[in-house]
Amino acid sequence: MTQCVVLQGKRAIAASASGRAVIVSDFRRPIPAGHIVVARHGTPDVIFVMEEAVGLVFEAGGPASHAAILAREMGVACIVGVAGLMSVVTPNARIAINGDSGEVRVIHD
Amino acid sequence: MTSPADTARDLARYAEGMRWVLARKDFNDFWPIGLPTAGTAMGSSLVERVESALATRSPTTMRHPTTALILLFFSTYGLRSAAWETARRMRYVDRLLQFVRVSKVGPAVPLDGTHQLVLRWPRETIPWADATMRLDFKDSANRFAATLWAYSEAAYFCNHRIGTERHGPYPSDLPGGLVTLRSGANLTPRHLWPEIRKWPELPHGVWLAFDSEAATAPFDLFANPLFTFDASRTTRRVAVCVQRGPDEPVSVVDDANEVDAMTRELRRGLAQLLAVVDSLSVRHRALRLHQVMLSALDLMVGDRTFSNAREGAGDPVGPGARVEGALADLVSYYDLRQEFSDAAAA
Repeated sequence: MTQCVVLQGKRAIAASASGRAVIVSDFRRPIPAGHIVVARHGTPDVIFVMEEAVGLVFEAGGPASHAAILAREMGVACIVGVAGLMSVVTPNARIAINGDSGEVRVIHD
Repeated sequence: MTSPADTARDLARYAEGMRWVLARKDFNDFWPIGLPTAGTAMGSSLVERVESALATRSPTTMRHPTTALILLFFSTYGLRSAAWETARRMRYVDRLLQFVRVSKVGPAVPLDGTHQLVLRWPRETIPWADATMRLDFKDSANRFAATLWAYSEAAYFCNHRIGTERHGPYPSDLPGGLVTLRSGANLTPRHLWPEIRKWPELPHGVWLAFDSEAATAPFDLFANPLFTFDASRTTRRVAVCVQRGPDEPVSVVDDANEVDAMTRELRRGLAQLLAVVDSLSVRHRALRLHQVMLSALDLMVGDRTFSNAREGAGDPVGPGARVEGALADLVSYYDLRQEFSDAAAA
């Protein structure tokens, strides 16, 4: 049974994306290409996953956070400050992030 | 000549900007704000050294004026622990702000989001790559700019703009465009990171210019670009220049492969550096911050006098606790206006 949870965050960049979630705690480890990176917050080493990811979602942070600044420069869709994110997303969940509204849809198949 | 009212005004703007920055920063894990654990090194001895160094020097135009704001930011603890009288604190802050004032177009701490520097490329001399440039070069330049920022954030424990400065916007000579610049210097700060013997093969300095088709390009207090547009998609022209060595001329880079090679080197350095940072305790990070602050002071006075003198790093550890907490506490902690309320009223 499909379950959809809608969360609200702050957009870092006016770009949208969708894909499967990969939950990351160490940005220095490789990730599978084409996924949405889900993490509690971003540090400067988030740059190591930005070229493989199609999008980024962070539970903490705001438009001036490391991840947001890097996402804008790299042109990667990114939503920050999504309360409750880490308790909702499971690995490989489908995620759609809306770069206009800051909305994050988490879909569990 | 600035008056106490000028300084009070700038401090009010600084506090507003700090509130905004703190509300949006993901500082809790990465920022090593264990300042009290460094004892007087990040406390009274730091501010006394800065005060002494700047007392007899006239403010000079800086390429990276955010350095002075960062030094002010990390002087907060020292200003309190030194227990100076209000007038002395006021002089201290004003000296730092004077360096910013002479380096920027407009007020030291603007509220309108611009961060325009006095020292920059004249618009007409920016060596733009061919207007019909290949997409790969533009993408390479954006990747390099992002990596440069991540690298300098890590190298300086988030004390960015000691090594790099993103600034602007400046008017473009193309209709509807804004130009922002990112300049970088001191990319191999070996004096701050002796653990890393082999630093990347980086140039002495780099300059990147981006001409974007965008409505606004605001910057926060510490010159973080806050534009919400997709920088890689709206960039129309880029320019990348490097200076290989301190005595060498600035040369234009127009090969995406060469830019990519610099990006790889920076990322290699970033990975090396983060491993070292991870291995440091909170106290050692705070003590390293002491070196970083002395390096910032070096930049202001124009030599290596202060970062070469390490005697302060061995000071006894103070009894204080790590500075952290809820946003409201942090905003209050960094609001220097409370230090000057009686002087401003006078």
